[in-house]
Amino acid sequence: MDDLPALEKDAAERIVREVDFQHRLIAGYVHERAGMMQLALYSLEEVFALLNTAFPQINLGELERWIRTVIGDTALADRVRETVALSENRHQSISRIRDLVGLRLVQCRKACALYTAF
Amino acid sequence: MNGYTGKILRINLSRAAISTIDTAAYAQWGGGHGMGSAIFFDLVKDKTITGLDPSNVMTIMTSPLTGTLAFGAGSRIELQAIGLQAYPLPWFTRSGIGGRFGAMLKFAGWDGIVIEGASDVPVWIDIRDEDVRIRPCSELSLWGMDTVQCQETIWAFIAGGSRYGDWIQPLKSGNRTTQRPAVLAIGPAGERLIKIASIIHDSGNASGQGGFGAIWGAKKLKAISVIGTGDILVADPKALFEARRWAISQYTFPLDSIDATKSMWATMPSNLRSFPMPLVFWKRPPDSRPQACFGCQAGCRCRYGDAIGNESSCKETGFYQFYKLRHMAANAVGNTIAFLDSIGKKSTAILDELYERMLPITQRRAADIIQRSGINAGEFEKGIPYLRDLNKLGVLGPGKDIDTDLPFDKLGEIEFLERLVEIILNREGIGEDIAEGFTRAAERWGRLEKDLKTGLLNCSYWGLPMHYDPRVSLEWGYGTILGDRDINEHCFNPLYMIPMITTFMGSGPPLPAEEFAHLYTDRMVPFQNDPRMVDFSDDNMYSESVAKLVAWHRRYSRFWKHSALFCDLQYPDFFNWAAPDYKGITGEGEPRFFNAVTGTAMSFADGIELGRKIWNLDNAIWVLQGRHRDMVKFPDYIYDTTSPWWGTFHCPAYRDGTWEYVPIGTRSLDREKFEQFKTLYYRLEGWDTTTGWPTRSTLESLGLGYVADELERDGKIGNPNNGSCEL
Repeated sequence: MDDLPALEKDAAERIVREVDFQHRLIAGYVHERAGMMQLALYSLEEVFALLNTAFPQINLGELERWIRTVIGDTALADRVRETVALSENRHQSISRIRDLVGLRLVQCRKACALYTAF
Repeated sequence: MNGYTGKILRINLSRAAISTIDTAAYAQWGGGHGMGSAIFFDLVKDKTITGLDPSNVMTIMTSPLTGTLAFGAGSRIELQAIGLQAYPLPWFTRSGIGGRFGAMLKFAGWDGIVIEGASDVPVWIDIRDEDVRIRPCSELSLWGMDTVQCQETIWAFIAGGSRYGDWIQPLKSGNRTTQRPAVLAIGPAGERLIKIASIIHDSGNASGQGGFGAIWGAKKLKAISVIGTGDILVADPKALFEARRWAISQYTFPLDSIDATKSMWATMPSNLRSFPMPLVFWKRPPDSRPQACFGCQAGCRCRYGDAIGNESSCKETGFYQFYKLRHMAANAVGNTIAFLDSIGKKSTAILDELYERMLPITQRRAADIIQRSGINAGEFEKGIPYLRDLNKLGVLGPGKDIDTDLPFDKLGEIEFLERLVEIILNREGIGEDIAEGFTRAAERWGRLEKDLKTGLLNCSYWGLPMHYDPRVSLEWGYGTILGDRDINEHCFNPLYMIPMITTFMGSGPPLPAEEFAHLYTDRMVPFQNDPRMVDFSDDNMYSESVAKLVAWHRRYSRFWKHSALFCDLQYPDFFNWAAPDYKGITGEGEPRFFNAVTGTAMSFADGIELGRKIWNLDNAIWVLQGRHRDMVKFPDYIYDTTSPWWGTFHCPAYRDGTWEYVPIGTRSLDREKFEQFKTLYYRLEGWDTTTGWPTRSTLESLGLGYVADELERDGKIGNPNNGSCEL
């Protein structure tokens, strides 16, 4: 994520915060036997968790809008939009966006000095 | 009477009386559900009683195939009674359990158990071959134990100090066995009449839906133990073995040359299994191995070196998955830099890596907590997100309108789940409300109407948690709302799951849409000439073709799945990845196994027709309970909001003269059109289209004139002039 600009602590804290009920993002995941699981997502960490399920059900356009307007991370939102446009299939989109979100969270944690040695 | 033992155990707990029912009197129903419904109808004179009424009768039935090596049909039992869970009326309902109880019951010489009345004191039933005793729980202090403690105590009582694998002699004058008793048990949830209580067998086999655990609690019945040393008379053992070998050779992957590109699809529901493949939503630790029901090759559960999460599968293993994943993600990103450095990777596909280091023991512990307590995982799967949303909304939490100390900061950790279970079992605070199920809890909180309007409470039929979305999975949603419970029958899932997954991956479905549709519908007797039965596109959602699909699905399930007791994991096998032409065993396999065991000449179509008879009897019972077509409606959010499946849900569709795959993931149902669909469906079944009640002529044509008599006495017989015309 060399092209995602580094973050100051204030911005990082805003990006990783948990949003309120009115600003939740509706999404879900599917398992071929357990069925359909709809969820409200309240943070970028939860988006990352969802994108790590087998078959995430998420409106990627809405995700971009949510990151841009609710989370307030224009750079990440731009990269999400660009990724969707360039991906050949949904699996590729989801995988690349998962990596983007994951690394953005790492940047945030680093800026907030919240990580510790594994 | 090949395949049957010839007698059904009848136990009246009020009178501590033990008697038998001649199986032959009910053999026309073919076993399982059909027998259970017929016995229930005969024994319960007032069908309007509540589930907790001592007059409620529970049947626990096997099939002729139970205890044999019929492929995927040797293990299951069918439990039926008036339930507690559905809303607004808890219907006469069903639930199935695998494992080894059914086979052991047959080996003991019983085709089923009928439980009537209620004991004054807690009891358990001790079955050792022909010897049956009702014993007080006090002698073993069983009442109050969790489901595992209870079973282990009974095993020790019957097997004495012998080690596992040692011979034991259950009756001093009888045969020996190396087996231990198979036990059905309730936990604290059932004892305390929690309406989402389960009955558990071994570690992870559960009768989850219906709240049957609480029905046992009301009857003061803690457990049923059975150990049998007999056998089952099979009409043609050679034909049975040949059928099994034929199924393996034609419909499963050879174990020495598995096609990896196809075998991954063997996890799909309704597909014969080639090899053991645990269906768990956690990464299996190295010291684990698959575990299977009696006679089954699928091995869809697992046992672990530490025994945590043993034998749980599917929803029990997944209900806490997201919240655990969320916690792991939070931890993971917090540690990613150090972690990636430590493994020398730059990818953030980190959870797979972390699973290797942080085996998800919390999920396995979560499964154990509900299995030991005897609580239905499906309610928690949708209920926990509901609690969290209410907390985020600001109405549930410490000092809020819905006051609770549930530790939401620990959501995803075991502490949250333990506290949730604790308040339910103790009926403490909001636990008293949740003990009634999440739908009734919402009603107590004054939120039911608004939360079913928005979908915040994701209970999409009869107040039960959504499993598959009625707006997308039409056969699932329609079948459930026209029935009694979340059907939990995966028969047609591959129709939309295979296109969904293959489109997601970018490869596309393996067959053209038209071939895919015909692969299913060509065998759907008596409607086999209508491929549009599986066209789930927007234009076909309310059609007569879809009515035929729903009718066929109900009939197939009621006989082949719920009565003959072929396992839902593997049947119907329409689409089979191991078969060269993808054509699965269904249509030919089910009767071949059934006839080899019973010596009858039942055709596939005969079974479908018997399923129609059973479905009609069930519907008559629901009508006697109070059902009317006006009640058969989805909650508002199914009509007023769009389904949120933005992935790649596609299905075969016929448009402008050609078949293609079309997206179906984001849509809603239309109220008026669904009402029109109900009229089509009722007409197809030969029921009164204004009430949904069966007509005398339809019932008499099925040999159910006595059912029509009871409906008529109650003023609930359908009017033949109201549009009923069986198609």
